[in-house]
Amino acid sequence: MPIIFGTTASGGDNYFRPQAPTIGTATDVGTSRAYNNGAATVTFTPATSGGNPSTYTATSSPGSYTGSASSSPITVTGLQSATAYTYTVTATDSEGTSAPSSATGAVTATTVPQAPTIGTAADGGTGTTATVAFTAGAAGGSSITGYSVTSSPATTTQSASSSPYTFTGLTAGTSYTFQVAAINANGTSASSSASNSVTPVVPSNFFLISQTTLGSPAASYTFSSIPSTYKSLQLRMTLRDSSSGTSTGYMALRFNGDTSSTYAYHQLYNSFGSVSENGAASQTFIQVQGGNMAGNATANVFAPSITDIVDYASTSKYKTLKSFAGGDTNGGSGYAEIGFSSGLWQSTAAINSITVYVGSPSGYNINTGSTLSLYGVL
Amino acid sequence: MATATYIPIATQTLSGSANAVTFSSIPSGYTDLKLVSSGGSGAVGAGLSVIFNGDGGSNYSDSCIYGTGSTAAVSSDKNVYGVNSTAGYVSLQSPFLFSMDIFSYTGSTYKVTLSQFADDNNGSGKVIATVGLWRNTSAITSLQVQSNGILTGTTFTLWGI
Repeated sequence: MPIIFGTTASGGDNYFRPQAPTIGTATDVGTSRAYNNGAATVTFTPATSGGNPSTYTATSSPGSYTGSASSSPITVTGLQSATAYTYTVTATDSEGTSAPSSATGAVTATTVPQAPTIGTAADGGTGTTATVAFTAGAAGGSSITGYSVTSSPATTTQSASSSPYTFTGLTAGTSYTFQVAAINANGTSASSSASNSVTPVVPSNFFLISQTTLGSPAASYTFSSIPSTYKSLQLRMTLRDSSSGTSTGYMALRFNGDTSSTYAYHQLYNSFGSVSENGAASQTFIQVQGGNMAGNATANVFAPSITDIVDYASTSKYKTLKSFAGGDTNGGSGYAEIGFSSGLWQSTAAINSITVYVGSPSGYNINTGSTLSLYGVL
Repeated sequence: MATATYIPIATQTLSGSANAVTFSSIPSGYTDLKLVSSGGSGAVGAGLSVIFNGDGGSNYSDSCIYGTGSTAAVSSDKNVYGVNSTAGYVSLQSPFLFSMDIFSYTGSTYKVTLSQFADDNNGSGKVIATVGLWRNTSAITSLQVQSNGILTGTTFTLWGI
C-alpha cells in the first residue's frame, strides 16, 4: 500500500490545515445600523495553497465580534458604536483553522444615534403649540445633525435642531404626547419614550380670581385681597335672596368696606311691563337692578348678572362700573326684569375688596346655591 | 396667576344660508358659556331663539328691554319654545351682533341667560337686552340657535368661561 505524505500549511503537524489569508481592508458600514449594533466589512485574499477552506472568519479586536463567509468580504456585526476595531481573518477547512491573518487598520464603528431622553412637554401658550424638552444621547460615532419630533395623536413630523423644541400645528383642547429621535449621517435613532401629556390652551386675558357657591345663607359675601395686577374686574353672579317675595329685585355692592355716602348709580330696566329708570346720588352702596331673585320666586331660579369694574386699581380716579342683570321666573311681565346699571364710587383708593348684598345692605340673606365669581381682565 | 379662562370652544361660519346652528358635545369644564355671533339674516322679523339639549317643549321664557331709535319698550314671553333673544326682530340683511351668556350651565338649577342683540341698517335697527330662562335642571350639553335664513358668512363662536 502506497503511503502518501502531505505537506503542512505552516510547518506544523496538521496535514492540509489552511494557510492564513492575506488581510485586506476593513470598512465601516454605518448606514441604518442600530445604536450599538454596528457593522464592518473585512476584505481578504485567500491563500493560494494549503487546503481548500470552506469558511473564512473575521474577528474584531476588541470585543471578539465575528462574522463568517465563504469568500471575501466578510461582514462583522454587533459592534459597539463609536469604538475603533481592528480585524483578523482565519480560514477553516475540514482539517482545521489557519493562523489569523495580520490585522487591519483600526476602523471606528458608526451607527445611528442613541435614542434621546424625553423631558417635559408644556403648553406653548398659543393654543396651537407645545414645548418639548429632551436630552441628546450618544451620537453613535457620527455627529448628530438634528432631531425628529412626533406627536400622538399624530400631526406632522417636525425637525428640531436643539432642545427645547416648540411643536406647532396642534389643536387647542386636544391632549398630546411627544417622542423625539436623533438623526446623523447613518439615519434616525429609535424614538425616546413618550412625554407627559399636554393640552394646548388658547391664551386668555381673562382669569378667575375667586369663586364660591354658597352652602348656607349669608348676609353678604366679600371678595377680599383682590390683586391689583389686572386692568379691570368682572363679577359674574347668579343670586337669590331669602325674602318671601316672588319677583326679581336688585343686588348691591360696596368697595373696601366703605359705608359712607360716596356711591351713586343709575339704572334703565324693564319693570312690571314698562321701561323704567332711576338714579340716586350720595348713597351708601351701588344698586344693580335685576341682579337678585326673590326667595319665593319659582324654585331653582337665580338672577344672573355681569358687572364690569374698570381701572379698579387706579389711585387717581373715582371708580365706575356697568352692570347687566336680569331675572325671569316664567311669570311674564311683573315677575321678570332686565336692565343696565351704572355705578360710581367717589374714591380714588384702589379697590381691594368687594362686598355683595341682596336687596339693600340691611336686607336679606344671600340664599344657598348662589354662585359668585370674580374675574380679572388684563 | 389665577386660572386663565374665557376659552373658545368652537366656531362655526355658515357656508350657506341656514335656519339653525347647533353646538353639540359641549364640554363641562367651565362655569358659564358665552355665545357670540356676527352676521345677518335673510328674513325680516325672523328673530333669534336658542334652545338647549334639543328640548322642543314650551319650557322657556324671556323678558327684554329694547330701543328702536325712536321708542323704548319692553316685551316678555312665558311658556314658549326657546329663549327669544331678539323680541322677534331682525332687520332684513342688516348686520347684527348677538351675544348670550349662559350661567352655571352644568349646575342643578334652572338655566338662566343674559343676551344682547344689536343691528343697524343705517337708519333702522334695534338694540335689545334679554333675560332668558330654561326650566330644566339638566346640564347643558348642546344648544341650537334658530332663525329663518341666517346669511352665509355669519359666524357663531361658543366660549367657555
